[in-house]
Amino acid sequence: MIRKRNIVTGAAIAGAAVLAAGIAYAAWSSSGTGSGRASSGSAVVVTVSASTGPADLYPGFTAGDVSFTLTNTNPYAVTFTSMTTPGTAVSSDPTACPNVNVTAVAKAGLSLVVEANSTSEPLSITDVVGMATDAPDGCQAKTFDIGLTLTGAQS
Amino acid sequence: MRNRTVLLVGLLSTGTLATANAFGAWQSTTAIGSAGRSAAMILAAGNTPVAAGTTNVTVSWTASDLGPSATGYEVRVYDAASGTPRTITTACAGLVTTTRCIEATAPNGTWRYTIIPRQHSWSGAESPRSDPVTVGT
Repeated sequence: MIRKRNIVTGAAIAGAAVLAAGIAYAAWSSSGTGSGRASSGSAVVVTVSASTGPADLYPGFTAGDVSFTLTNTNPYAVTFTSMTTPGTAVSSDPTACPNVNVTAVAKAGLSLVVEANSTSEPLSITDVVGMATDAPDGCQAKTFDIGLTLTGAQS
Repeated sequence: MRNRTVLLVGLLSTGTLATANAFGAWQSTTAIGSAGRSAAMILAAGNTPVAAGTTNVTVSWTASDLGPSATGYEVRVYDAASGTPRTITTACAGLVTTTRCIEATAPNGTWRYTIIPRQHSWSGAESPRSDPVTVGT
C-alpha cells in the first residue's frame, strides 16, 4: 500500500509539472513580448532577405516568382503557409522602369519551412508577380524588391 | 486506491495535452519591411537573317527565344557598301509576326538585312547583318 501511494504521488508531481510547462509555453507570443523561462528566451519574428531568383518577368507576364531567404532565430522550426497582399514593388531603376510596372498578389497554401536557429536555402513563391503589358524597354534586366508578409506557425 | 490512480492518469493526460496545444497554437510572422525579389528577363538578340533574290528579296531567320508572348520582329536594311540604312518596304515593314517576309519593292542596289526581336514595347538586340543581296542585276 505504501509502495502504491509513492507511485501515485510521483505521478501527480510529474503531471503537475507537465501541465505547468504547458501553461508557461502558452503564454509566449510570436511578437517576442510574452513571458517564458529565462533559459529559453521568447519568440521572435522571422527575417526575410531578398535573393536573386529566375529572371522571368516580361511585358504581359503574370506568373513571375518572388525569391528570398528566411532567417529564424527561434529555437524551433517555422512553417509559413500564406503570403498576405504584398506591398509596392521597388524597381532597381525607377527612372527607366517605374515601380508601377510590377505588381504582386497574395497567395495561400504555401509550405515554406525554416529550421530552428538557421537561414533557409533560397526560397520562391511562384506565380504571384506580374509585369504590365506596356512596361517600357528600360525594364529589361531590372530587379524589383516586393514587400511581403508571411504568416505561419511553429512546426 | 483504484479511483485515485485513474484520477492521476487523467491528470497526466491533461497536462500532456495542454503542452501539445500550446506549441501548436504558436503563430509566426515575418519582420515588418521584409521583401522578396523578382527580376525581369533580357529579351533575346535576333538571329542573323538570310536574304535572297534579285527582284523581290526574301528575308528569313530563325526564331528567337522570346517567351510565350513574343509579338514579332522589326526588319531593317542597310546599303552593303556604305552601311547607310534605308526605309524597309512592303511586306517587311512594320512588325513582322512570322520569321519570313518578302520585300517586293526593294530598290536597285546591294543590301544587307537585320532583324530586331520585339515583345510589346521591348526590343532585343539587333542581329548581325545578313550576307549582301543585290537587286536589279
